[in-house]
Amino acid sequence: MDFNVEQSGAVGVMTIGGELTVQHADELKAALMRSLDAVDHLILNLDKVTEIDLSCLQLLCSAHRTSTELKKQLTITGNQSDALKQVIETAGYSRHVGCAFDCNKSCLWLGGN
Amino acid sequence: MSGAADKHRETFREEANELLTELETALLELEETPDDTELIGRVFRAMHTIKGSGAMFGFDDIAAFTHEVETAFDLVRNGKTAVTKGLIDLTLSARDQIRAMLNPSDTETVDVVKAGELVAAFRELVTGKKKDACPSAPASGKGSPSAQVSAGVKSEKATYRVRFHPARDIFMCGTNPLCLLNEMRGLGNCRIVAQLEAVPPLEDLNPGECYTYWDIILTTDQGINAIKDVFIFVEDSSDLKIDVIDDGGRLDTESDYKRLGEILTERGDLTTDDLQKTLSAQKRIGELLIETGTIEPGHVESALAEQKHVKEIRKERQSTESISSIRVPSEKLDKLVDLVGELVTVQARLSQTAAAGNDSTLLSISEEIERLTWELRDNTMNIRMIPIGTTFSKFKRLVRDLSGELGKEIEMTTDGAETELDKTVIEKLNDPLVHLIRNSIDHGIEMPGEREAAGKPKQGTVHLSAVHSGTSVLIRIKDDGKGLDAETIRAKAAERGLIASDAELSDRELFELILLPGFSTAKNITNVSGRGVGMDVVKQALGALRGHIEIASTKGEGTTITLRLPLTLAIIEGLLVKIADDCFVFPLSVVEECVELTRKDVTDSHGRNLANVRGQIIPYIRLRERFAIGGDLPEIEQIVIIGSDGCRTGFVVDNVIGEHQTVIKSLGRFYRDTEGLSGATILGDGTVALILDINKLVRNAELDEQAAL
Repeated sequence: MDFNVEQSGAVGVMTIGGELTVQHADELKAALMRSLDAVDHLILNLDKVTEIDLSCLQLLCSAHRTSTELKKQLTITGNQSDALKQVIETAGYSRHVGCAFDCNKSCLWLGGN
Repeated sequence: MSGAADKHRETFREEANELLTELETALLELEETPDDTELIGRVFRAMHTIKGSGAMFGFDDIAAFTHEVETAFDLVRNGKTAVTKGLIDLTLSARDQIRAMLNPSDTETVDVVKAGELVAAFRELVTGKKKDACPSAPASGKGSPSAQVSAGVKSEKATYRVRFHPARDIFMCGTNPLCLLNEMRGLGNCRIVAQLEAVPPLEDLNPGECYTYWDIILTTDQGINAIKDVFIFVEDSSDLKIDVIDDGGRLDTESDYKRLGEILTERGDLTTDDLQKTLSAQKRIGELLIETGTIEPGHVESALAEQKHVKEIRKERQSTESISSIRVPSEKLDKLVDLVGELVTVQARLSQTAAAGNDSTLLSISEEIERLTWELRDNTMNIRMIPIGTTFSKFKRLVRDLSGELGKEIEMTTDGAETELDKTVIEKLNDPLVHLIRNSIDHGIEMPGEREAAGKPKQGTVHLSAVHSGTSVLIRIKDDGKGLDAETIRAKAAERGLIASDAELSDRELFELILLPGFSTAKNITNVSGRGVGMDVVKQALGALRGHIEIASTKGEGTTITLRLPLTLAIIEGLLVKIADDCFVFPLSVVEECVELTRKDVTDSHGRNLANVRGQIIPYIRLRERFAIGGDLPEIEQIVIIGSDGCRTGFVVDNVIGEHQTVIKSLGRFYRDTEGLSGATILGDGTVALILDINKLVRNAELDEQAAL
């Protein structure tokens, strides 16, 4: 896994690539927490993700919850890779409505089928 | 003995013809979505049934031929060869060949040479693939193991609701829950919704633990043990709950599946009290539950998935059940409608007699019979209604073949295939639609190069749609071709003397000129169209169906032709009129109004058949003269004014009696070609009334007028 964060003012873009698997989950968690502290709006770019597993999907979901608790924003940008879409579908994560925490309708899993 | 055999052979022919139609539809769809395994299955099944029942009824040649095609599709089904345009072309030809073999009278002789060529082509396809496939997969002769299992265990399909709540440390045990989910998907038709409400915020999250649990709805024929087997290694540490929610039809007492609220309470996700409270607010329950925060949105999501899933499998089951419906020859149905027509007539007589008499018992019986008769009539009419979709799919083939022949790229899209129309209407609609679609393809849609130059997509579109509108059905043929050129039509019409060269005509009036016999603006006559016969055929056929045609077109953008057709031809609303002692019926749909015609009016117009209706001059036709009915004219006659093709014409009759539910009977063989009459009906008192063919009468009167000049 590799990632880098570019910050401009209150907005940060975090580009994550490679394998997002349980081995990297701790590292990713720490990075997400740091970035959410630093900015008001964190944009995740997952274009380069080649593999993702359930632990990291959970982690993204959790990060989104944290952002709404902090009254901040977390969004995913760009074309999600097929690998990511596939896993979201497989894990049954896709949604028509966001969860109870999702007050500003920014749930990461909306759309799809 | 041989009689019975013939009958069976006849049944086989009917069935095989239907299967061939199904085959064609499936093939054309397959061409669009070559990976659809369901479609490949359909093609295969149709072939297989033709082969099997063909052999059973002694059509050995068909069975042998179909076998070759089936072999090829077996390879496709097992994923050893891909669906290509070549294969589809070949199979479509094979389908035509089977049809020819099936109905030898339809064609002069069965083309044995062609059959041989096709067989050779299929064999080549098969052996070619086998050579490729064998070295790499030597043991692949029997299909995949899972296919064998499902073939062996032919148990009933059932639907299960599974809640899988894995242990927190499932990742640590080296199990990937996603693999389990995929195994579930392998068992059958499956919907999975993850439940995420237990996922904590980042600071409390241990990334190595699993907070997610799943609701799975699965329809499978492999039994509950197969599901348990999937979770066998995590069974002890996880929480697994399996419920049967649909057991293959034995529980289908109610027609709809449980409501969302019922599913949620049954699962224990929602209490009955909460449900009642929420229901009283009267909104969509799912939205409301989420808005009020009563329950986790994920649960609603999963309950909705369950609802949708079960509805779908039940629908699927129903459609397979309805295929096993009774097969009735259409003549029997026609006979039934005839009989119901007679019954309606006799019932009218009964009502009349009962109303005239003073017997209250008779009156109540007659009312009862009236009610039953109308119900019977409606039901019978309903049986005759068939969806227009079958006709639509026939045209897909037409479009495909024609566009190939002309070197154009055309896609046909359809809409409203489920729209129902009377059987007779659909049968008679075939020819006009063929002409209209041919026109669109040949004259409308341009060559790919031309289209690109005009900034349009290379592929042209012909859109066929059907929609109900009141008591009629509108059928539209819309293309995105070059459209009609009003000026060319005007020039051509002026050249042929149809209009004055300086006549002021609206575009719509100009477009209607193309309906005239022999009118064609095409410079070249192609093998498809251009002779100027087609549109006349369309108009004639529509007249026979009591339909109208409307043409709209924008140059460069395309043409839309709308056909307006009555829902049924068996019963119409009519206006009953009398001339001397004879009764006649006007179709009420075209009648605009009735006015009086006095002797004075006639003398005022100096013997010309023109009436002044509120300042508008309306020409009229004396039906008494046209039908050569003798007798004295009454002092005051009636003019029934008809609006047809945009102009108003009057018909003079003695008396207007009133509205009449007209059961249409065709005229006998001797009278069938009588001009000006489209049929007959029997009145309550047993007398016959003739139904007038308004368009024909007007046209004949115009011709007479022209001849007199």
